[in-house]
Amino acid sequence: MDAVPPPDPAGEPARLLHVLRHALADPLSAAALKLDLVERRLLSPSGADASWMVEKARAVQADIGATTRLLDLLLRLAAIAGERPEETSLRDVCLRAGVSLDAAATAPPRLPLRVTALADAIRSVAAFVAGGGAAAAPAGREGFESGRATLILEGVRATADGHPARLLDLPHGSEDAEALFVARAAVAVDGGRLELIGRGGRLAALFSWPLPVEGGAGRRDEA
Amino acid sequence: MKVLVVEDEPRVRASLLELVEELGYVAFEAGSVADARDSLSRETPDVCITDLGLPDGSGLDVVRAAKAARADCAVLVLTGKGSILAAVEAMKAGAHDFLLKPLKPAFLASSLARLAESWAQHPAAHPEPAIPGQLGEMVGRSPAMREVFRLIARVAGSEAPVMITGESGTGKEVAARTVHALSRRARGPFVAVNCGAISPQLVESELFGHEKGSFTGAERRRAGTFEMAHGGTLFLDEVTEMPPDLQVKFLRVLDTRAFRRVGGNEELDVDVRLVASSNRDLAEAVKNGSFRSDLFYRLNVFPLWMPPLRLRKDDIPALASHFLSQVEEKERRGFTALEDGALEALARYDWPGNVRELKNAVHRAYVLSDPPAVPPEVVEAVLNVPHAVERAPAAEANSDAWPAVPVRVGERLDAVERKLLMATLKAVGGDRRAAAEMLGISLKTVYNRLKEYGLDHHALPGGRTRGS
Repeated sequence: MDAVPPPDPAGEPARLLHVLRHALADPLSAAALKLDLVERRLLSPSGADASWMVEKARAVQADIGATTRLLDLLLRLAAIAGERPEETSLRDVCLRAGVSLDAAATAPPRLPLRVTALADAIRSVAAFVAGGGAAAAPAGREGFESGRATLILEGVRATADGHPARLLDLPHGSEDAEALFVARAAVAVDGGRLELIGRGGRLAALFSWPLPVEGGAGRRDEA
Repeated sequence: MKVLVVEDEPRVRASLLELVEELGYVAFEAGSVADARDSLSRETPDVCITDLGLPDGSGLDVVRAAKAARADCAVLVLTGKGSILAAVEAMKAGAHDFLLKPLKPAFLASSLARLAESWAQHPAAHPEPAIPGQLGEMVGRSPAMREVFRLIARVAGSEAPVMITGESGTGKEVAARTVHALSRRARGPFVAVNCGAISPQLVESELFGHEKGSFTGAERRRAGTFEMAHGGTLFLDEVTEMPPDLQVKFLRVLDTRAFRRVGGNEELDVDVRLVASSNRDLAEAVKNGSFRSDLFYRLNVFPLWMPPLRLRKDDIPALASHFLSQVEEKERRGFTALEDGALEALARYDWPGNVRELKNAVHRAYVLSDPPAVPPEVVEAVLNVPHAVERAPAAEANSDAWPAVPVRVGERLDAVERKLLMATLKAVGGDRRAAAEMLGISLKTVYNRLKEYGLDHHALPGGRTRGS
């Protein structure tokens, strides 16, 4: 994987596509290398051993399977982009996601959000930071300051290494992190940001969106 | 040849390892920067193939570690299409070349084959010039030229793009040819393109070639510049004169390393090493928008500045003797030297046209002298030294030394422009570049005007623009 993002004036949505394209490059490279190897063996005077050929063909199928799974993510990004945003509160979206909030703001501001996509995102992120399995989903904590609305989910899942942010970049061998990538897209599409941070060795998710400017529409130029 | 493969994605790593071994090389592997450092502490590879994004750091760390372990280890960097800047950074850190993902196995195989073939006779392993004071066709013992020689010897063995800057006539194309001659691609072609002189109508066909019947007059398939330079070096002379739409097309080819001939469907892979030159202020060209910043970064990996002759006057005697020998070799009139007074006269001059002007002056002095030596008075006459010392290039057109162009009141401006351009070209022996400089216009404008006048280059004295 090549995780070095280029300078990107188009912002977070373009970065997401960049991540996906790089993730796709790996299984495509692996398949191309194996097929080249097969061709070389077939053209060599000694030919290719049948069992070796079967092994290689299955490995190429696995590479193509990984490619297909990543392309499915592209379909999910398209579905998110196709949903219409509506004015709602973080509290309502969390309720829909099955995530409770610690303390409620008395008059929470309403934000233009894609409710279905964001509820799915909050649900999957909550499950991820909770560590999956039987662990209960963490309670969320909302905040409204410095011009941003925030939602923090602190789980019990241990941070695997010192770079939890990498989990949002489709890391190798972490298929469950694909849900995080989709969640990142669901937040970014409404101008928000999803970050993963380590707190005391535990994983926490920080969602944030720009608060609508008073008397005007919500900012959409963040991403 | 021993090859270290550093890649964190297990499927890609295993496939790379297997292919490298299938190609007949000894392969070993690492999945992270730490693993790579560990491997390098135990074994020193001839080649290191590394991904740029690794779980515990950057591939740049691997590049540095590999070069630290063995200075001449060739590092091939794997990168995605959107990470060209990162690849450029890697090459600045010492990487030999980069390979785009998704990988094309044939590219990897040919890169490794080329490295294996040239390993033993790697010219950059002998950075000291074989002849003291000379590197390829370049001559000089001044500190400035010794530094140029050192840098060329250093960069020649890598695949890094080189951007050569310097005033007109300082020897930028000669430097480019030297980089090529000392590189692993020396047996491949060296193809030079004057970016300001390509006709806008024929740009695509010139660069990418065309298929038979792709446009009126395309009677047969023709290879373009990229195709001709495949396996060798492509020299982009006066790169800042490249039209903006061509810059975009060029960048695409540099990023994908593939192109299609005009009218063709087949995507052709291209493998060229890039050397570019300009006599303009590149930063200014980027700032004013005439040159794309992404193309600038892509080409300016290894900058090389050619000093003007006035800053390396110590080299004038050696250069003058070198040029005299070259002329004598062809004409065989029995010349052996320039007299001391002639060399002193050459040293008094400021050389606004740099080495190219010196070469022409020596040739003129040779023609006007009698063997066996060129005397001072001939050199002084050739240079018109009393005027020449004070003469600046921009003032040349106003000098009394040049013939006047008669102009009538009310004469059309385009006719005056034509008269002035033709008279200037005649005065400088058909050298379009020199004429452009004297008139304060771009070389491209000169070509465009000549095209408007319906004059091909054979119709003019001198014929061609001389190399930089």
